[in-house]
Amino acid sequence: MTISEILDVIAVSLLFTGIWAQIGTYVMSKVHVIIVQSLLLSAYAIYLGITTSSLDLVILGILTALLRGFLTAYILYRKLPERGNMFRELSKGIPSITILSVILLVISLAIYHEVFFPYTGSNIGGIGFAMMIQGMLLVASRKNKIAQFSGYIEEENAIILLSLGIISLPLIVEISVLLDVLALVIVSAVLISETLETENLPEMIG
Amino acid sequence: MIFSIEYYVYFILSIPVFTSSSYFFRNFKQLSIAGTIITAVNSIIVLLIPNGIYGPFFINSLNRYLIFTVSFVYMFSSIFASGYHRKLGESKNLKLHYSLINLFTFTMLFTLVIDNFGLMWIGLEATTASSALLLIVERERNQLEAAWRYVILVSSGLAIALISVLLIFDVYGHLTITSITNSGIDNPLLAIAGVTALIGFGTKIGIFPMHTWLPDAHSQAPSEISAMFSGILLPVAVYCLYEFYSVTSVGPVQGIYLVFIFASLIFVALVMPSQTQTKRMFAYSTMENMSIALLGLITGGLGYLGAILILLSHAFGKSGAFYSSGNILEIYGTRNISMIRGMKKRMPYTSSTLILSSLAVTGAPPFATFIGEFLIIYQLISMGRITAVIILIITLFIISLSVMYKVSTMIFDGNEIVDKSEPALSQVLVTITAVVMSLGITFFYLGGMIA
Repeated sequence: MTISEILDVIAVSLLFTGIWAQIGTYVMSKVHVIIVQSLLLSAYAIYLGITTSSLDLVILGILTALLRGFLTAYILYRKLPERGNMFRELSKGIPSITILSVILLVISLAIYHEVFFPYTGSNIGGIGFAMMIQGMLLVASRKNKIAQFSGYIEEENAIILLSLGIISLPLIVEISVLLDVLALVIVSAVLISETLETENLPEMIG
Repeated sequence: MIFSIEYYVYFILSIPVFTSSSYFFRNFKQLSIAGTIITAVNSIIVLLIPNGIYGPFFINSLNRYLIFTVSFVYMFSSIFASGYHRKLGESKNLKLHYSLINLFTFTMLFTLVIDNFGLMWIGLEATTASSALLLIVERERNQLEAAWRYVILVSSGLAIALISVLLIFDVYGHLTITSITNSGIDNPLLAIAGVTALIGFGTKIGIFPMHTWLPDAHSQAPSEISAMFSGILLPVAVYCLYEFYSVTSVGPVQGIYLVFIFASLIFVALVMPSQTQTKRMFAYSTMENMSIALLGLITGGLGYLGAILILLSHAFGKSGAFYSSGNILEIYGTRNISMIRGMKKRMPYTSSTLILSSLAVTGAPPFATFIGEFLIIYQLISMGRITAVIILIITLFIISLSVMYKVSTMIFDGNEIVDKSEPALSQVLVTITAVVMSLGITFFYLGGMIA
């Protein structure tokens, strides 16, 4: 396999994790998605960094694995109640959302191909774009905070992949670290909340 | 000379960073407030600095005024908080609250002065990280829910804005704002960057339909934080969006921005009459004010000056409105408008500040918001956008009428029961000062100090 093919395989695997995140109501599977997706992105960045002799990308890969793949996932795991493997979210219509996510995946890839590709010439960017839409769908369609959070992490990962695919930003490591710090703030917000489900409180309607 | 101004900007940025260490001191309130006063005084000096690039920073005709409003509202909010949260004593929660207010202000000032689109994005993203925990100082259930919605929605939105940074870098090969603004490249990729910036930063500004976090966060946050969110954070986000717009306004971008701005105005006009809570009502009013300010900025000419006047007067007027709402919440124990009656006799000072600040944010004369709106309408007419003017006038009329009717009922109805009661003196004084400053912007303008 060539370098490009290896990177393509990792990127397509990332796309599948985007669909995996939409499936099912077990909250633990969302934590698993965060781990697998972050580690895949980490592998992508490290491999790209080694082949292009870019220390920034290697650092980015290591930080992604440590902060997102392990630390964030560990904090979320600790947040789950006893017998966390069996804990399910209360969101409704998950099967319909899963079908919708597949339709959106196709549409987002088509939009990228028509709008972005003529200027960027990068297929990897298309996967990042599609993952981003999947992340947004997860945030918008779920009521469980861990599911929403996994959507946010997916968006983060998508942005990094989009950047790696189109053009490597000079501030990519700093941006990634900042996003991770923000992610941890979000996690701490989850940690101190009484419930894992978002609520429609009377004072917040209208 | 240039080096000295660069170091001066570093100095201003370092003040809130230094005072954020107040967490470790017993006199954390006094230390923080002293820092805010030093920052505010220095922001006046920034108004006198000529436009230009100073190392990694730049000062232009817009950010200098925003530095001024950020610094002063920061000072007012810190003083207000000392009275408003007195029941928290010297708890760790309050210490953390003060430290985060300082860090939050640093991130806003950094966002305003930095001459790089990537770092500007990072600065704005950092405002979310530093302000999220400010909402939950009292650890109430509603605050936790509002904080969650704020963080998850705004950070998701800002992630989209990063695409804009990426595309600008792809087109120009660097991210220096001052160099890019003058280059005038016409690339279709920039139109996509303009739209993603609108969606991303628009989420932070509260542009319809990405606004859903805004009324929740503003209504549930402590009043001094609501004032900072509405009076300065959102204008900082408007400034960011405008800087992005300046380099991406190719093809249909201006038209798309106008559609979203007018959709926001129409939405606010539709929901405002049915509002039942004070702070939520002012939160929707902020959506309107920010939409009009953005409208003025992107139309340019006299509209640009109008936008500056609105941003200046609104910062203090809306702060006054949220401080007044906090004072009402403290005395009445509710945000529900229908349960607040007889304010005129019960809270005479707060009644005055509430009605004056309401007039300021609804664009009534003699406040500078009125002049600002007038200039924007004039600019739209000179551009031949009569339909836009008609929509603008109708929505402004509905929104103003709704706000003033609700404020009037709180103040003038049910004054039979006389039981005078006002919150801490510091809260009342800060509220009055904020409203007076909002009014003072008119005189600064008429005196030729804002041009």
